[in-house]
Amino acid sequence: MGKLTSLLKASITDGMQIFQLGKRNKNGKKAGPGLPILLASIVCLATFGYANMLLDSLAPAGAGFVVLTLFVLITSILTLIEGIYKSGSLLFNCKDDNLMFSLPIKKSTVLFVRVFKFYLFEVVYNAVILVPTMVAYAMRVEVDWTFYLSSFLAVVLLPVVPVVISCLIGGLISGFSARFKMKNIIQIALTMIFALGVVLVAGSLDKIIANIAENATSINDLITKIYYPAGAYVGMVTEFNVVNMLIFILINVALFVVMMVILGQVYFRINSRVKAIKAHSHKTEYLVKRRSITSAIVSKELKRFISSPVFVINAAFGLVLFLFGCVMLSANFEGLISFMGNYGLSDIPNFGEILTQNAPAVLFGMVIMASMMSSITSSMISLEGKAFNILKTIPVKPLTIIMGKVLTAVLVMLPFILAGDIIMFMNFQFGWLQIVLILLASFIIPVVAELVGIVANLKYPKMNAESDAEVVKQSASSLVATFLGLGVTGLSGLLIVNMLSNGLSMDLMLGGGVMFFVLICGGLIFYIHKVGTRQFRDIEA
Amino acid sequence: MIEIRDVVKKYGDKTVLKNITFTVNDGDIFAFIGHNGAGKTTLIKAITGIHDFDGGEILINGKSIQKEPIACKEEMAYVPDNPELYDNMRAIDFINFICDMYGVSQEKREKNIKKYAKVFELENNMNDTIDSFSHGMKQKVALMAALAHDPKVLIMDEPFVGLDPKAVFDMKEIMRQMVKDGKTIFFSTHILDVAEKLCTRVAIIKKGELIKVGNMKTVKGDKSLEKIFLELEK
Repeated sequence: MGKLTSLLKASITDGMQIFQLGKRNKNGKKAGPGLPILLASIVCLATFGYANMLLDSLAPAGAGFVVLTLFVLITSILTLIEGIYKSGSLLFNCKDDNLMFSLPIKKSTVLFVRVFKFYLFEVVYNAVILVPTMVAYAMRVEVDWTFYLSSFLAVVLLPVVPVVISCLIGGLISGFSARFKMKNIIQIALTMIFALGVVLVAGSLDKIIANIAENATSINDLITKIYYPAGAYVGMVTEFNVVNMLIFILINVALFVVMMVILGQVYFRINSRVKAIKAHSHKTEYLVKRRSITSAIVSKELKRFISSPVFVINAAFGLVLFLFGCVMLSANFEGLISFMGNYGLSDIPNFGEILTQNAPAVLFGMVIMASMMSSITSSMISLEGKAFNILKTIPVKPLTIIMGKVLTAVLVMLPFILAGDIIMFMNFQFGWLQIVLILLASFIIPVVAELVGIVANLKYPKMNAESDAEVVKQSASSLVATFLGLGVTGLSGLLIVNMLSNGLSMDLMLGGGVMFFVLICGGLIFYIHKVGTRQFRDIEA
Repeated sequence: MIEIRDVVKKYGDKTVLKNITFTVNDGDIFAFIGHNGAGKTTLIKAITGIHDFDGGEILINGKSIQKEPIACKEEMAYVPDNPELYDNMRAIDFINFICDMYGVSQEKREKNIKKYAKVFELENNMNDTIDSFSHGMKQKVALMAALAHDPKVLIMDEPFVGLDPKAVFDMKEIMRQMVKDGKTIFFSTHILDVAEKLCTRVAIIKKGELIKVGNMKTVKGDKSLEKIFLELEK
């Protein structure tokens, strides 16, 4: 037990950046926790506000608990989607493999430490959404101590099921793809299939609810049938029962143990297979080729990008959804309107017509969302790891290196965004000026998103990660970039709707939007030139 | 030439380099020795511009690393103690990348890459990804990348660790040839026999303070470098 405690302590304090914010580095400088805490607080406040809004209509009818169910489902689905594509990288082929497997501990202990670290991060991540919802509920509905006990248990235990499922799927994908020569590509493809599958199932959840509703006697029964943890928690909140609470705890613990036993049987074998290196080619011919500094940096960054499945999937997810959205809007407009009807949007009079008439604004908003979701650069400095010193010793200005990273990220995004634009241009009516402005926006907004990402990464570098997933999904810079992206997307959406509903013409709105992002872009480049290059020099690998 | 003048480096309240001053002349093979944690890597990182320092000045061929970092870096190459390279790249891609950063001409890189691939026996491995290499092979790739652009100043941190005996022998020959051409070599090492036989000058650092610097013969006198080092360390 002593060994396990020491391992967990070392692993958590060393590997999880959220526990290191505020800690001084070798130079005595402190990575201030201010911005991550501020952004997390904004998410908390937004969640609290949204939960309150829902409670306005549901609490008086005695159905306030539906809000809890909704948020439990949302966090579980998000955890599952993210978990599927990061578990492979968090569990297998980690940088501390040699150390961990050389220690006198069981291989299953190594697995436990890694799964536990993953689970702990999800507890914190979920709490940002769950706790404000629970607080909002407690303020609107009369609760007693059992609510607080149940809610505490829920925050701690709700991530268990998505973590267990994603670890099993991650293990399956890693084990299967490691059999092939092009294992990274297979892993990326399979992970995308699983993750998009979850998105599609989640998207049609309301239809499933509608079908089950015919046979269900109460909402609670219905929820329990779909997703036991949400049902169990809401059950404890509405009608506390010690036996149910113990069952809830036992089921979660049992699931965790079962997963550990199953994955523990094959863990070392899968890890060895994933780590297996390719045999040397023994080819004596090789290509010596000269390139410009920028193209050499872009080429190097692209190689790093495609070498990491979690990095590719994280970036591609928003872009694939954007492309999918454009195709759906163009090819199956009626179906999409009916799908949106499930969320009450078709209650808006002439919703389909409004959507068609405002297609440029819709596309503009989608470009913002896709760009902000795909913050590739927020991990690019951290992923250099110890090799960052190479960049510090080459005779190239830090600004050139930084902009090379931004350019790479934009080049990854542009094909998806331009393809989506073209699909929309072909199927909806756009004026020529609108086409020009959207094309400009399609270039400038990804640049802004990636500049935001690199600013975040320069401020919060994590140069000693044990795996790519720790950087891409669990580092302070990726969280800051994600929260900022969400904020910009939400704010832009509100502004677009507000400006158009106040009679501003589409052309003016798009022109103003593009100008706004151009100004932000200029401001960010100036900031990087003045502050970012100094931060670059100060980073210690 | 490397001129180090009154260099001070602090980590928080702790001073890890205390007014270090010495010069590495053109044509020197200069050994920098000291116990673990004495400050060798810290000074090397300051010279190469990897990290800043809090006082003093470092000049590379007369240019300040703090004021003209790019001009200084163009003239030097650095080989780290632990070859952390871009593991996902093939060896040839990595070396091409470094050559691109130094603006090495096609003709020069073809000549140098082929020459050093032969010297370090990596001709059959240039198309393989670096993650498939052993520590020693990575060290050879790092050395190749450093030498490919014909640096005027070569700075190395424990360059012989992980190299096989033939590579060590070849590396020593390369170093001798470089200084014959008027270039400057500065490296840290714990292998005192090699330092004694190979180097023209030596500096010994202890707890961030320079305790001895000068010609190899003057510093060691009739004794071995190992004996002198152990006596000074007491």
